[in-house]
Amino acid sequence: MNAIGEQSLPWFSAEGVSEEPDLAALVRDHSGLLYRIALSLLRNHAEAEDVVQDAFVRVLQNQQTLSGVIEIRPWLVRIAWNLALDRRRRIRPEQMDEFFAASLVSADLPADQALAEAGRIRNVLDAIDRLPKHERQVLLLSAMDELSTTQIGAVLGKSESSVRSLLFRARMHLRERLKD
Amino acid sequence: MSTEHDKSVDKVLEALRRATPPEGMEQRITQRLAQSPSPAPHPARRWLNLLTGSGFAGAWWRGAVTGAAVGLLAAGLFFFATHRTSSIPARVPESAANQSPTTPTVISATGSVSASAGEAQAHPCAHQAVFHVQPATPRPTGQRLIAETPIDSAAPSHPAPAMPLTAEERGLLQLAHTPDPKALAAPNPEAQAMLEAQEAAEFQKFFSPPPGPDRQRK
Repeated sequence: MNAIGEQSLPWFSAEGVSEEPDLAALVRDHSGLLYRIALSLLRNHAEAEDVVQDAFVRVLQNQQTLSGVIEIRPWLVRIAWNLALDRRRRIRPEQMDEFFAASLVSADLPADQALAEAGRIRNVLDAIDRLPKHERQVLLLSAMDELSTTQIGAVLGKSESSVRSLLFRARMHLRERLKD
Repeated sequence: MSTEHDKSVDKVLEALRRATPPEGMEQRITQRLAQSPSPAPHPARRWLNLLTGSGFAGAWWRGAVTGAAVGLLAAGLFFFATHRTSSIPARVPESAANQSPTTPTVISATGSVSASAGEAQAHPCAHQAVFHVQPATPRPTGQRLIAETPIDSAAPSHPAPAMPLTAEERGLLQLAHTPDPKALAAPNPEAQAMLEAQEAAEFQKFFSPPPGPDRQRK
């Protein structure tokens, strides 16, 4: 995992050589992370890709106001996260759970085991959806290895200790609900 | 049992963590970005870039803005200085004479007009300046005064002609020069005779002879 300041864009520095941001490098370095974050919320591959495209279009439209951006990764994650939340209100991700769970099951398993595994995954996704909002957000963002606790706090506007506390409570609530 | 649930949760989170973007997503995003029109920079941002740029244009604009600021500052100081001196007529009377005819003029009796209102309140006896504010009446300039001066004023002056005294004036003069009632009555014989008779009667009354023994016996 990268440190916090490693992803600062070079063109935002005072001695920046080029004035135009290298959007191709941005897409190459961060599109995978943004896609996974959008997918964790939307559970639909096409919708997740649209969110990533919209996020970079936003970056292109606001590239002249980026001088204050210090860390590009939390900033991009926040854009994609907000766009995914906005899109989630229009679609119903729970309708995609069956296909999404089936896509997460390993193809090597026999059919009966794959069906049971898909059922368990669907239950977990349903339990995640029923978590409180902040706990669900922290749990999904913490699943991404590329984001540190500090960066998750920066995305959600919370402190590092608050993120840890929310993550602990999310796992506890999830365990209790899956028991039932 | 809880371990199985934890494993299920970890498996879902691991699947989300290892999800790979669809093939060709980066190319599609790049194409869409290429098709999206790049927005024109904000006008304020464009000016800021022009002023802070490191090129020749940036340096030229910085110099121009600095020069304009210095010029404005100098003009302001000059205006302040001229305005301050023109408001002190005791020191520069020529400027007061050439002042606008509609502006009221503050004239100091002692010439110390630089005392502020706060200082005057703090030390009321420190400055004994008396200010007279003349109303803003049109005042003719020097050349206009010469043009409007009548020719008769240049002629030599003559004493005013003598005028006859009125009756009251004559009475007052007479009273002032003859305060004695005898003298006042002298021109009138009747009044003088009456006055002499009155005085004689008083004298006789005062020196009348005492009563005789016959009268005392009675």
